[in-house]
Amino acid sequence: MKSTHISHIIKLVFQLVIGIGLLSCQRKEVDNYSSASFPFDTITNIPNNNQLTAERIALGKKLFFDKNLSSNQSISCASCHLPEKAFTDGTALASIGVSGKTLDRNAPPLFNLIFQNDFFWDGGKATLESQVFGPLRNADEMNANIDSVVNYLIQDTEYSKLFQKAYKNQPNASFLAKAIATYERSLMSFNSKYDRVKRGKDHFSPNELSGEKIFNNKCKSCHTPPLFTDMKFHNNGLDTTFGSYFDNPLNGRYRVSGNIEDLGKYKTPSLRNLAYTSPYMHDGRLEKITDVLDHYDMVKKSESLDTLLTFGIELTEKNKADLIAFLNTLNDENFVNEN
Amino acid sequence: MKNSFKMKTLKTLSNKMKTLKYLYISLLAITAIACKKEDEETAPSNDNDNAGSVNIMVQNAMNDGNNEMSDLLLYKQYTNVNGDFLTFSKFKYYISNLQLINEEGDTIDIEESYHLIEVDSTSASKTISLSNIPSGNYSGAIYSIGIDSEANLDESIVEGDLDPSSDMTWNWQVGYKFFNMEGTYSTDETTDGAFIYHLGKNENYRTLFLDFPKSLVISEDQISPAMVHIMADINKLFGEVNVIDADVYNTVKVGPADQVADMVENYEQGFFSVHHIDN
Repeated sequence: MKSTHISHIIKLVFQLVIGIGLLSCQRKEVDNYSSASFPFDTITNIPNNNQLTAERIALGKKLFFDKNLSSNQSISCASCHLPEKAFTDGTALASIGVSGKTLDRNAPPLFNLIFQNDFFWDGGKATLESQVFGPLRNADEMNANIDSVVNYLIQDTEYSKLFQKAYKNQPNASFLAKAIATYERSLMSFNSKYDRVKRGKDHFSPNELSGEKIFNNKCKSCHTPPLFTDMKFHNNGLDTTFGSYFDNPLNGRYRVSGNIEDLGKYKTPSLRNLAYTSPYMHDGRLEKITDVLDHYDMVKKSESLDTLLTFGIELTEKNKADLIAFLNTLNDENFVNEN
Repeated sequence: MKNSFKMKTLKTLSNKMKTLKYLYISLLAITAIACKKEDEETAPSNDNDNAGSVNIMVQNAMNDGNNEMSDLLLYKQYTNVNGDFLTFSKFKYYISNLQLINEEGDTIDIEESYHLIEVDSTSASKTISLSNIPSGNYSGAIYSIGIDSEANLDESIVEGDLDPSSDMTWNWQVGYKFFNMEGTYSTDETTDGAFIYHLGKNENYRTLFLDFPKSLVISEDQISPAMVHIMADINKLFGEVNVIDADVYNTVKVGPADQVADMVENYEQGFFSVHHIDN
């Protein structure tokens, strides 16, 4: 970010502070944008030693797009998390990693992560800082040797300067992870038509309204607004059998929690930005939203199938069309264009 | 005229969207700064003259092929409590959050206290060198097996022997394995079995007390560091409470839950004892 943006931020902050009187430790609702549109007061998980600053976001962004972090200098985080696809890659299971091996999980979209406390489809990583090391080091992804990466950053005068500005430190593994985590925290998506409607700046069409009613009836308990995820883990009936050994990737959250009730459970994804994040599910097996709605006609049974889905989700063809109209109001064009 | 108005409106709208985004990020930043707690205070460093050093040597031992206590080295054969033969290709574990207790009952924290105890094919011991320890007489220590939850939930905390790029981190879980033991085994039933024991997770972190048989004296006048020689009796990991039968317990990682619990129950009794102290 250039200095013009920083002075822009300072100007805004000043207006914000005067207008709303924010200088207190209470995270108050922002009056112009009703709390129904975003739960900012639920953010509690920004580490004290890694608060958001413009410098840290800029550094994290540079790292996120830097292919030199991978062992073959060809893969960056952005290779599988493309901004124009809400940070997914349009692929079910990628195989562009250094080893060429096909991965076990679909690349999840990156937005509104600041509200989350469990990362990866099975929720293994508790902080964004910790999550960074996973794909960075994985031989099937970026295959990075962290010491080599740190060396590369230290040798680079631009990076050295940026780390000094951001963290008053020379580059190291800890600040590398912190910077990328900070950039990821800055990715926020809440400017879809749905959000504008909730702020009183727009109106749903009749089909969208009808879709919202259906949504509230049949989907809301797991895909809870405004994040459109409850951030919990569910078995939504994709499979009847799972892996034969304990930590088989097919076992979902069980391999993380060790709790047999978690067999086949995955984190509820957000329904925002579906237009950009196909294909769907933890392994990208469903290509279109219609495929997803059809899946819910006949969920597969297993011990840990979510009780709310025992009978699937009954939707007529008209229901499905209206629901899709409503889901389309959750697409945030600004988000995919801005990053 | 109309077109330029449209362009202006669109530009304003796009700027407004950018503004919104920066607004919210600033909102976070400003409330974060306003609420900024003190950065973790570093423990007051005792850079004065009233301090000395101590080496803590942890020697790992287990019953060998002849059932006699022997240094635990990689690629040699040992016998577990169940009578199974084990050969380790990897043997390491974390202890952390060391504190020394002086004769007044005060506890002294040790900074950067994350220590990886590991053996290789020639050495069964790891020496932890501590300096800047306040002079005094110490009667015991508090130590923990594994990594505390704060460091275990944030891999960007890189202190002591914590290394997020090592094989002690989990691939799918956050944090560290507390024990990483791998190798081969043989029993009456199995001639070439393989074992993997990767034990970790916050709920399995244990804090224990270690009594010193005599006072550990640390003084600024000491000619060389004092020494606490600790014996780590690895037989206990395999049978202090629950007998670990290699044919049954050979792949113990995040699960199966009952096997993890059994092995934790063994190590939570403690397997350290002070062999001797050199002042």
